[in-house]
Amino acid sequence: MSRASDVIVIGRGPAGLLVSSLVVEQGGQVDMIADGLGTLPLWGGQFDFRSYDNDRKPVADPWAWWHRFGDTHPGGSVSAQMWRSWWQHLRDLWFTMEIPTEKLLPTKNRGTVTPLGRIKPAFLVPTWQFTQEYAGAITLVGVPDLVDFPVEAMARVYTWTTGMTAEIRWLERSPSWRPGWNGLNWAWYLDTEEGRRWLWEQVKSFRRGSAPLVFPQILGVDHTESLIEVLGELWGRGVAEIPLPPPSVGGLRLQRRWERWLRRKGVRLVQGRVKEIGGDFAALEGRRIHGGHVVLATGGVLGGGLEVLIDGQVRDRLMGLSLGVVKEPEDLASIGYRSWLEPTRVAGSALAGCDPNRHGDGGAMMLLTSHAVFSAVSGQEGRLEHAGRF
Amino acid sequence: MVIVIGGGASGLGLAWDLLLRSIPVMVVEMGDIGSGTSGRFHGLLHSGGRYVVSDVQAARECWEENRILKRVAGAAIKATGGYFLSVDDEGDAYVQDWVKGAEAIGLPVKEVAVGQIRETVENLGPWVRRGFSVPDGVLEGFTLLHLLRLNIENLGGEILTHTTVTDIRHENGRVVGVEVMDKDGPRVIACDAVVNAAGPYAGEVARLFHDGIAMQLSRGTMLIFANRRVPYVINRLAPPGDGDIIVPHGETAILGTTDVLQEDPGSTRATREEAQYLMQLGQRLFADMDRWRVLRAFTGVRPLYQDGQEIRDSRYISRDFTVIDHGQRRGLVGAFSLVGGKWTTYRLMAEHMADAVAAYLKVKRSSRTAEVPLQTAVEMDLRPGPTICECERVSLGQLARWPCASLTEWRTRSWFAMGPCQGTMCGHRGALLAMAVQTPSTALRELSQLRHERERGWWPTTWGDNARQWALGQALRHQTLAEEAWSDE
Amino acid sequence: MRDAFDACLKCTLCVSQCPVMSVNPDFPGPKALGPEWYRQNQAQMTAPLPHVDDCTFCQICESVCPVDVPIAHLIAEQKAEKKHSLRVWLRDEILARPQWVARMAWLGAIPEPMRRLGKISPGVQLPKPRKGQVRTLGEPLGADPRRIGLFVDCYSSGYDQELVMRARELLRIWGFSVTLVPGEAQCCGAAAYAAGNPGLAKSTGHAMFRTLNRKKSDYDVIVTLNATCDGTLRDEWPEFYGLQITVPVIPFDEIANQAPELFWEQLASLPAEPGAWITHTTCRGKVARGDGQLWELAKRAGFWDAEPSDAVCCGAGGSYAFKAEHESTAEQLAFRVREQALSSEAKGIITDSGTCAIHMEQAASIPARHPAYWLYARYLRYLEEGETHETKTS
Ligand SMILES: Cc1cc2nc3c(=O)[nH]c(=O)nc-3n(C[C@H](O)[C@H](O)[C@H](O)COP(=O)(O)OP(=O)(O)OC[C@H]3O[C@@H](n4cnc5c(N)ncnc54)[C@H](O)[C@@H]3O)c2cc1C
Ligand SMILES: Cc1cc2nc3c(=O)[nH]c(=O)nc-3n(C[C@H](O)[C@H](O)[C@H](O)COP(=O)(O)OP(=O)(O)OC[C@H]3O[C@@H](n4cnc5c(N)ncnc54)[C@H](O)[C@@H]3O)c2cc1C
Ligand code: SF4
Ligand code: SF4
Repeated sequence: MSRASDVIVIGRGPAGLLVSSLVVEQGGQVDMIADGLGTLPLWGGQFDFRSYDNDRKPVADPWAWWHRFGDTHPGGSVSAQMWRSWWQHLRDLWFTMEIPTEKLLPTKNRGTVTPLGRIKPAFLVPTWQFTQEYAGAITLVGVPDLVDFPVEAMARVYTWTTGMTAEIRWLERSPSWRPGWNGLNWAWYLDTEEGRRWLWEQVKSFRRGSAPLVFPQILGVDHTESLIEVLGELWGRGVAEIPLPPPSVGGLRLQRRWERWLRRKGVRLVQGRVKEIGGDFAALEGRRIHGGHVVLATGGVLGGGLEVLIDGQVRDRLMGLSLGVVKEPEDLASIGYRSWLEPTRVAGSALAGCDPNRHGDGGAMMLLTSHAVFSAVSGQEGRLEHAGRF
Repeated sequence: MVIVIGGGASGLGLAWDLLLRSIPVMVVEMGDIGSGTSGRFHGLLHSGGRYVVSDVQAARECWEENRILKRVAGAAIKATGGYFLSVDDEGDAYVQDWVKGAEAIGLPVKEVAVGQIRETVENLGPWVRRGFSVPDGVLEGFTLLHLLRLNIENLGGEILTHTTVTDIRHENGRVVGVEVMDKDGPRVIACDAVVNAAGPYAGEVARLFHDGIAMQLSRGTMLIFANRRVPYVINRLAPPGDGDIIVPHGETAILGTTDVLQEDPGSTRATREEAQYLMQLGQRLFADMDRWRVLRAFTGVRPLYQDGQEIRDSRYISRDFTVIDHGQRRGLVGAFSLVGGKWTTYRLMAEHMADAVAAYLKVKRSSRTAEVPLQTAVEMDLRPGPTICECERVSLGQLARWPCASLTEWRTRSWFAMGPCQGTMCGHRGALLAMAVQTPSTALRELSQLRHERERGWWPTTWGDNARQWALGQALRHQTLAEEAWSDE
Repeated sequence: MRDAFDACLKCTLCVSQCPVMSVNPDFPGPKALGPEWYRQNQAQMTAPLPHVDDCTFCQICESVCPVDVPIAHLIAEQKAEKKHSLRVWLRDEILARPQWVARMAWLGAIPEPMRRLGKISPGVQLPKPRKGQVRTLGEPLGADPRRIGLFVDCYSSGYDQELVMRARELLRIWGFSVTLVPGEAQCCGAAAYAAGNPGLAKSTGHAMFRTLNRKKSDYDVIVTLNATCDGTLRDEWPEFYGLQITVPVIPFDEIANQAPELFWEQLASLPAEPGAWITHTTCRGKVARGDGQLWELAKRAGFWDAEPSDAVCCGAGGSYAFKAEHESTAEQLAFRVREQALSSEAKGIITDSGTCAIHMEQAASIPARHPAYWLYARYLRYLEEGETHETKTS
């Protein structure tokens, strides 16, 4: 490698991407090392702030919510102002990556719909995703044989939970359709000229309705916005999508755009598993990468940064540290490093204390840890008083 | 008409035997078919090899039944064959006794060079010394249960599921009916005789016959691995012990078992300690087992019967199972119990039990279950429509063949949600399909039950990649689908 | 192979990144073809799925899999089960031995009737072998004690001696002593593995290993000119071939980045290479080493307007694109490169594989060459014009 980098970021998940972005924005050189893709294409790409309270009741105003934590949560003492600047930054960053969001930051959670027909809070989402302030009537688009989006059942659940109507419009099987197609197959198809034309014709033939037209998340991978724009004109109301289970096209769009941007900023992506780290190096099988700082964005148990042993002990795979023992299922989600600075710099879900499954705070956790680590490596420790305290 | 309590191997086996003697039957099962021990066992069609030293009678019966079942229930049996392997620290004396024992019952065992065995199963521990082939096989429990069910129904037998027998009606000490409870409430069904084939619950049911029987329940834990790591059954050549058998089951392999006394007839959740214990034992056979992708642990409860002072008719008795005529004891006349035994010998048990019931009903016909093969369902177009469960390749069309009584029934019939991802990617699809016939709240509740059932066996084995699967499953349930969010209230 | 074949989490990350999935509506994808088919086949003999051959063996799927399922290698085992017509079988037997093809390079283009008979893709042309005379670049600019075994892959050995000589010349002026290995057209096994013949791959690999070993005393490092061979030797040999190469194996662009500072200073004194360029790290390069190094090298060498390629895989896949049944997939994959080249009005493509280069060259109608080729050209220009520039700047 020619130049030693300023920061070595281990991990290519959302946390790794964000830390790398923060460093390159300041003109730093980053080596991102990963042995796998990270979790972004596993989800629709909505970044949650705080969706549920401790009793699993939905949170309407996540801005206010954080003040209630104090020392019980890693992000407890972060001020609303700090949150605002981080979210604003993420939004702006996405803008430069051509990931479209609303111009203004959300003032509260909106509601999106899941493939089960359930309402779920959402905070920062790309504009292609369906959200609404108050539940209203919707028109769902049925896609033949797409088992992750069974519109009849979804419509029933939607009406049952919200009391609002959900009409259905069915697409036909396109001439290129093949049995076994999932949402991603559709999306690749709708990126082609043929696919787009076919879909225009379909939507043109739909019986008109007065509600927004809600597709499963299949509207292309790379050319989504232009497709949605045309469809919106044809339908005459809003057109948006609901994210599906993996392969999730929304997250895939984010990952592709994000990595494209980073590539153009000169971030080197090194493929391989890191076996050992030190203060200024990361060692892979047969080679050693040097850099000014090393940041672990290796994810939790799913990402592979943490490993669960047969006896239930959880160990960090890079430092060999034992981080505790899992007794109850909840332990697994929230176990991890106790601090984002000790014994090394940690961003993302490798940090203990957050449980996005329970609280719906995955995006906030990413912002919090990535900025904290960035302040540390860029010598601006003071910006974040809380760092390292819990 | 005879009422059979319990829709497990014993109950369905008995119903089939009685029907072939033209005795009308109704089976009453409180859960789904196979929700008792018969759906929670190891899957070994014994050749008898395991018992040739310790229990010759049982060994003989197994070997006999092994051959009969391959004939009459071939669709549910895989004649994989198997090996007994001796490991360094076991004495040669036992090996000799074992070979002699096998010869004595005519069991065809053959010594095979260990090198040759290693060619078909990789990573066999270096300490494995000798190997003998045996005609072990695999018994697919759910398949056989559903096969029995089909044949019973074809002959006009009735099977009620989700229906519990709560009491027995009797006149002058003679059984005349049973009281049952289902989701619509209690009712009474008249009958001439009643048989308790309630497995681990046999002790409780016997009390309704005004006659206690002493059950000795023992729980066994097993580990399922994601892939068929072994092509045939592997046993340790040693006195029967824990964790000494690996059975290839469909696309998985199962290691078992343990043997721990327990009071509760309901099977309880396996613990991480048990799973860990089994892994230690399994590694005596396969040193690299800690890198095998594990899926889940599950337990079954052996409905063993403790010999008491009760009257026994030696005709009906094997060392392994017991037929009890409560009328001959202090209990109700026309009430019988069938306890103990193994899956492998269910047919034989049923035959003995049916002999007793037929005698009581003064029917002279004898058992034909050893001759009449079970008819398989006419295979319809197998996989039409989109795939619901990718791991086990279950299609929409396949599920649609069975009206959805419950997600559990779909699961045990089709194997949906039983593969490596444990329903991570298909559970919600099943629930949404079920919504065609169920209300949203019922379907979502069933989904939640399915998840909890899966997680029960999954959690004790959350290590390595299986822990990552768990983490993915949780993220999907809670973050992608908002499965258990507030909106249900 | 034995480890992790059963680890699949069904996460579909592989599916989301598979380049063939994105253009071929019939392709069942890595998850179904790899772990899922393999698991089923372990339980009972299962017929290979239709379109299993459409997999290019790019291994992107493996590189993104969180639990290291050897997906592409499992797929290769499935390809091996597939029965082919005699014609196709014969063709595949030949293409699985690129060293034969390379030795016959002098034969030139394949005549049309033979193409049809052999089900060779009508669109793909083999280039004329490049012999080109290579001028010496003068005295070494530094000294490095490492002796380099420059690994000449079968393609370069048959079709691009010019590149080999340019690379050798560059290494020499950077201060290395260079031996060419293996010294004759021989294959590392990659082609056979990709074509679904793991058995042949292993024997081919073992033969290459023996040749390399015979010359072991001549080099301390192996430098590769082709990303596929690079990954095969270093990563796949130990894991899938049972071969352990004892010296480091390094791709050319990484060694180039270690060239003496003086070399870079000299290049920097030249005006920037005019126009836009595309750096395309091949799929196998991404899997073996990662992405971004090539782009950095290009920038450093003065290709200032270089732009990293956004295509995951160009579709060449060794001999993949030669097979008529892959024509459309290969074309559509290359189309992505073409689109980018057109929109940025690129003048050339810098890429780390010879076979990918010809494929992209045909698709994008601009020259596509290995970085050693371009670096040499730049340095030559420096030698020719350098003097004047230096005087100008000082
Ligand atoms: C199904 C699903 C749905 C989700 N839904 C939402 C949502 O609705 N809203 C929301 O805000 N968030 C959501 N999330 C995000 C989630 O809550 C986490 O915040 C996120 O997955 C954590 O990402 P990460 O970057 O910390 O780790 P990961 O994405 O897991 O990345 C870990 C990275 O580290 C690499 N790595 C690990 N060890 C090594 C090593 N030794 N050497 C080299 N590389 C290594 C891995 O290869 C990988 O690239 C969802 C996640 C999932 C899986
Ligand atoms: C861990 C383990 C491993 C085993 N491995 C093997 C093996 O490899 N090979 C082999 O041959 N055998 C094996 N066995 C033994 C074999 O599984 C059992 O002997 C056999 O399944 C018992 O069947 P059953 O019908 O008697 O009981 P069950 O299957 O338990 O059936 C009884 C049924 O009665 C129902 N019921 C109970 N009370 C009531 C009521 N009041 N009203 C209505 N219904 C009621 C229950 O819901 C249950 O479904 C194993 C057993 C265990 C525990
Ligand atoms: S090797 Fe490449 S083409 Fe083949 S399945 Fe994997 S990603 Fe797809
Ligand atoms: S990426 Fe790996 S774990 Fe995920 S589906 Fe593909 S093979 Fe399975």
